[in-house]
Amino acid sequence: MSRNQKTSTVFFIILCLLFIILTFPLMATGEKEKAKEEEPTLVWVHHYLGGLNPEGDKVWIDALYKKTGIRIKIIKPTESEYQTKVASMLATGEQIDLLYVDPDQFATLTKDNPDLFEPLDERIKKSPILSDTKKFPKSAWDTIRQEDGHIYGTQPAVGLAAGGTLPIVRWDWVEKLGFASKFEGNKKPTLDDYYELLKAFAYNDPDGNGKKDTYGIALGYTTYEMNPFFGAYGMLRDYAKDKDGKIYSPVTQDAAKPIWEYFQRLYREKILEPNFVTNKSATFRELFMTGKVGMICYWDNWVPRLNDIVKSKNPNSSFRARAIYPPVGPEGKQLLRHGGGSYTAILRNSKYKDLAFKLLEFFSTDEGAMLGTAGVEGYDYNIVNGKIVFTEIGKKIGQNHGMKPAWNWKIPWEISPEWREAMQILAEVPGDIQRYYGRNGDQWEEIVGIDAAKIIRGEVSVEEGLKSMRKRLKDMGLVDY
Amino acid sequence: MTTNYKIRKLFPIYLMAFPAFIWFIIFVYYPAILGFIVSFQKFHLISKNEFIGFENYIKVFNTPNFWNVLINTFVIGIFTLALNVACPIIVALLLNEITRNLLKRFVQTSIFIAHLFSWVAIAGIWIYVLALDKGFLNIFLEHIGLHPIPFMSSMKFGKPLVIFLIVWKEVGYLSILYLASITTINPELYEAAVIDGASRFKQALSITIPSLVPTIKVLIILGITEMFKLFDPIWVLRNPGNSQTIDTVMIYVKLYGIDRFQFGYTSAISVLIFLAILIITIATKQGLKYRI
Repeated sequence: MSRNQKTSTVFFIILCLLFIILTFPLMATGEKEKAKEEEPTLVWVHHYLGGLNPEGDKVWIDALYKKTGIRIKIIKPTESEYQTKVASMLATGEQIDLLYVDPDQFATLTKDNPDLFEPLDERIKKSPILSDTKKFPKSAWDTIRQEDGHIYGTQPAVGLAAGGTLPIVRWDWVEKLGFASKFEGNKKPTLDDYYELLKAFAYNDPDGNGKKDTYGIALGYTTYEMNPFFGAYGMLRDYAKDKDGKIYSPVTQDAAKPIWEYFQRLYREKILEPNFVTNKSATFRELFMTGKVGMICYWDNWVPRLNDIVKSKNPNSSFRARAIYPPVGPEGKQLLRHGGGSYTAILRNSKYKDLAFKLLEFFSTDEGAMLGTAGVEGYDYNIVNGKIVFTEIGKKIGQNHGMKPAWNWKIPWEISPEWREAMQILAEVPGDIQRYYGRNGDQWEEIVGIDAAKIIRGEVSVEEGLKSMRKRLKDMGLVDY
Repeated sequence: MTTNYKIRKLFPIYLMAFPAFIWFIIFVYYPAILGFIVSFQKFHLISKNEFIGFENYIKVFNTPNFWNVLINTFVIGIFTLALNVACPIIVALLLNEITRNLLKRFVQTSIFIAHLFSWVAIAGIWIYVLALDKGFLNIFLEHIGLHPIPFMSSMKFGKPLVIFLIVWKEVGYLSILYLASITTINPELYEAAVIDGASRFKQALSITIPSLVPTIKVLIILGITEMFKLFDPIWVLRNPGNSQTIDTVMIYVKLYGIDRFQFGYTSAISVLIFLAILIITIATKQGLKYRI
């Protein structure tokens, strides 16, 4: 062998040794994992389970382990990357035992994979907790029964697990501008009442700084926040099934024209915040909290959080967020988008189906409800003189650790009057019972959003815009007309 | 040289290249082959896949939106490529004229900084700059008596905005590559040109730019493959107002393939894109007479 060849060979041997040394820890981990297999660890994929950060997650997981004896690992993709993460995990055969799905995700996943999830009907019947019809009546289970007749989760759309979105206003501005008597306790405000209020928010200097720098209402880039206004005409976004079984989208029909014209007017008169096409939820929440808009439409449990966030930064602020009843249309109709329908399902190929169901059962008990909402005693809250007092961490997470009780659970801590009021409004105003979940909601949003922006900005007439929406949806095979 | 001698001589070199070769086999070629196979299947997440022939490919060509995103990809890609060749050359030529070292470095650093920002940061900045009511640009337009323009959410401005931002982000980085090539040009050529009475502009046209041709060829070939992989800038800039005009093939693959768990369909699109890149790259190489 020549000198060069010897040098090359020595160099190669050094390279191989380095490779082995660097990968040795990974090989060693394999041994540790074998030891851990004696105690199974369930993998739970969920948007917002556990704590606010890895430390909070660990505290929560340890608390769950103490109560149930079951160890879990939480995988928490962000909402925008949830689909992609779930897709890659499922496609590569990574372990998933429990998967949080909303109705659209469930429909999309099971469209080509009908055997993906484990039906839980028989397990629910045999469960002493879940078969309690006083706690979980048949009507509750029907809210999450799929088209095949089976139930795949243990969280019906009832109680705190449901919630909903509704109009939230700056009540301090409402009082200042002289609208309190019109909206206080008024269960049937009209669209005209709303228009006058929003116009006052935009033009009557509610923040008292002498500048025209506020808007009446802010929306996000989806049409989700328009729901209370669509509800005035008895319709909500997404799909519905008509009496002939045909799929259509109510808000794209000509009957929805008045509401689109309403928003065209709000935009034209500079009452609607103009950057709605690029606004994310965090953006319009920020606009609301910083005094740029007087109304947003958002989740009920955010009413106290908005107040807490602003007051924690500025205790002397006059800011007061409060939910109000949605507008009533000319025919007396009034609807709100109720939440729920999302739940944790068990994968059919999970090796730990029994343990997974045991976990879901646990969260249907009072102890589980406390862990899934208030969190961990000593970390999220303390008991002081027999009362639950939340820590700063507990307040930040807003009493939502990912598993809200799906029955009419009596909340054992003082909730803010604003939240109680919001929940009362949701309990009184009907939700959308006609919604059809068999088609993809994200695709609906993508397609309808294109023309929604053009209609509201007056770039096309309402008729042209609605016709275009229907055509796009039909071309993609999502609606029948 | 006998074969045995060649093997003995080259063996250590092949041995050293072996780990990289294995890496490519495992992480590039094997997944590509699997993807090709999946493109002929109906992919199931937990049960066995079914062979469905060319159904996925037929579905690709019959999807109304696919042709729209393909056109968007080509238009944005070609304009970006053209401007990413022309603008950095102009900037590099101008930078080359700066004689003061400190000033030259300051200008270089300033225009390079945009390349270091992530697309999320860039989108965040420009959303505020171009905001309809409080954006700097629209305030200026109102000030001179014009109506504000919804740059970020208008179909008309969708493509120009994306192309502008991509070029704006990359011009600093690419101009440095060209500047590096300019510094290798033999200075005697410029001296001869001066003696012949050529102006600076003529020198740039006749000496500098022809000397940059090899670098330009490399960047065009690389740019063509990047054209079909456009994702990050589109993802952060897209919204319902402009998605129709700026969505590219990779966005389409993510939204309508991966997020809908349609892996067979996604793989079919990927195979078609690979073939398109291959054909265009070979044609471009022939056209540019590019040799490694």
